[in-house]
Amino acid sequence: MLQQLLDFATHERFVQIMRAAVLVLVGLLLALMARALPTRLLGHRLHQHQLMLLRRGVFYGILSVFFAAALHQLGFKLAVLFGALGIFSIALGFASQTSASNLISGLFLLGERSFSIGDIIKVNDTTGEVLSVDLLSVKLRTFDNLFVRIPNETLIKSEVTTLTRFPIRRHDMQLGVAYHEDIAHVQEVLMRTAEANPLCLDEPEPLFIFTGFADSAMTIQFSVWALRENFLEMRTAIFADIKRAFDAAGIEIPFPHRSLYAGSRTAPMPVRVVPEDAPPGTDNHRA
Amino acid sequence: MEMTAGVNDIEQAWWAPRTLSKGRTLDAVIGPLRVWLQHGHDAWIVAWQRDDDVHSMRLALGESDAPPPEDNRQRHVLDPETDIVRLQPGLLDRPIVVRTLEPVFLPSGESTTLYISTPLSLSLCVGDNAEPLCEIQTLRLSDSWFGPNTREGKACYAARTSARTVLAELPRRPHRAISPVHIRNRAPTALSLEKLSLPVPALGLYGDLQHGIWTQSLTLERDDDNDVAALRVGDGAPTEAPNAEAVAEARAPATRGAAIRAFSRIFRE
Repeated sequence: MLQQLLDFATHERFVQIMRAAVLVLVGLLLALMARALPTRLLGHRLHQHQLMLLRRGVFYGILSVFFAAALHQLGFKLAVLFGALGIFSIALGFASQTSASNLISGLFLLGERSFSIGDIIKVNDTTGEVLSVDLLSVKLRTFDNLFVRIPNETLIKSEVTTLTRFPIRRHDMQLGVAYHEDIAHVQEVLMRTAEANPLCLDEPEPLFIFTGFADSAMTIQFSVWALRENFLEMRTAIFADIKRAFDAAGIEIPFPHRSLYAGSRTAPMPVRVVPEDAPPGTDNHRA
Repeated sequence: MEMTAGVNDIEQAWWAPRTLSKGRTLDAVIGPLRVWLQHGHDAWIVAWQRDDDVHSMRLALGESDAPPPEDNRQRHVLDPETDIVRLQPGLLDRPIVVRTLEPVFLPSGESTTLYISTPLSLSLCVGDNAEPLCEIQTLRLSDSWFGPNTREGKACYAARTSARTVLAELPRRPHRAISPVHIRNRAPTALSLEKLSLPVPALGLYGDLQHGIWTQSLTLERDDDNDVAALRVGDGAPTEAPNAEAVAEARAPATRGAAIRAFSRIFRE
């Protein structure tokens, strides 16, 4: 029994397997240790996203070299193996088209660098912070704290908006004022309101565009800029400021009007006069 | 409450350390900002208000037993037993883009000195602590953006200036520091001084009782027909206030001979 075990242990095949196993283990250890190197050496110079890519590259690079060496140790001919792998990968590619498409999309996404980890992006109806950019999918954390996984293929095919790319943002407001208002006065009030709000950027200047005549109001686009980090706060504040300024200046924001035309053939509309001291509810303003 | 008024009535500069015994409240009015600092039994209590009069000339320091009001009130629980408090003036944390009230031009080959004042921020310091309890801007300037386009540039503050060239015309407001800005235009074209970026984080503060608070002098030299100028920051107090002593160091000292984008013609595409 012991003799059999000894024979086996000194058998050439067993030694080969042991060597291969040791090679893979050493490779794994080295790769794990080397993975920390990019952060330590280049941590201050590279972006978090680039660091993650570098870490993965180092880890899988070292591991694959040792794995190939281990295969060689086991007597595999690497050239033949790679050839076989090529044919195998085509078969695999056909079998798993979606994964392959995601994989390739992922490589394009990484190359394109339209966003990186920590950016806030908007894909279709989902807005969130990018947690990781992986080979098959991108993981987002939405503002209501949900974890969303978006396949890379979707990202390649659809419109992606990166909200945190540039340091300043513009907020466009569509406003309507009554037809009897003086547009120049409205513009002056709006400009003064934007100037009084410290979160609204002084430069680039707010933009005032008279966009047209709508059913019940003259429509205006008023655009103000803010630093990215103050954007939300500014958006709320400026609406409140404008409402207050319009109220103070007596500028009317109209609700939809309907004029009823009683043509010459219709009888005059009945009008009822209600005494001033009538109890509430009997007025006919609601007509 | 004893209140002193006017710059010259205060024997000691308002930024000098003073003692505040337990239970007492320091009440300081510096321009539009009013700050209360109470030496409580277990904590220091800070409160502040800002009024709308940005040109306020008020300066007053007093003590009372009344607790600070509710406005922007905060409590700082501190360990060290000390009675020493200090109102430490400083400059703002971002460059300030000053816009002249009317367009000002400097023809080719000319030079001038503008006196521009910028608002201070106030740090409340207790004892020997280097870290202040809090920092309050005497004036909240509007945010702004300074750069060649909306993608590249720097966040800064915006302010208006009359760009006075005669020092005597400049009102001495206690919440502002005066910067003498020497501008030389050696470029072949006239220089529009409509907008000027003042790198206040790179400046220190100097103060004396007669002349108020100053920064070092700045020299901006424009050699080519572009927005960039060579910036030189003078050594020590400016010649206009020769006896002024250092009050605060620069937040981020400028590198020598730095070129900055000082004049703006942005957003005119």
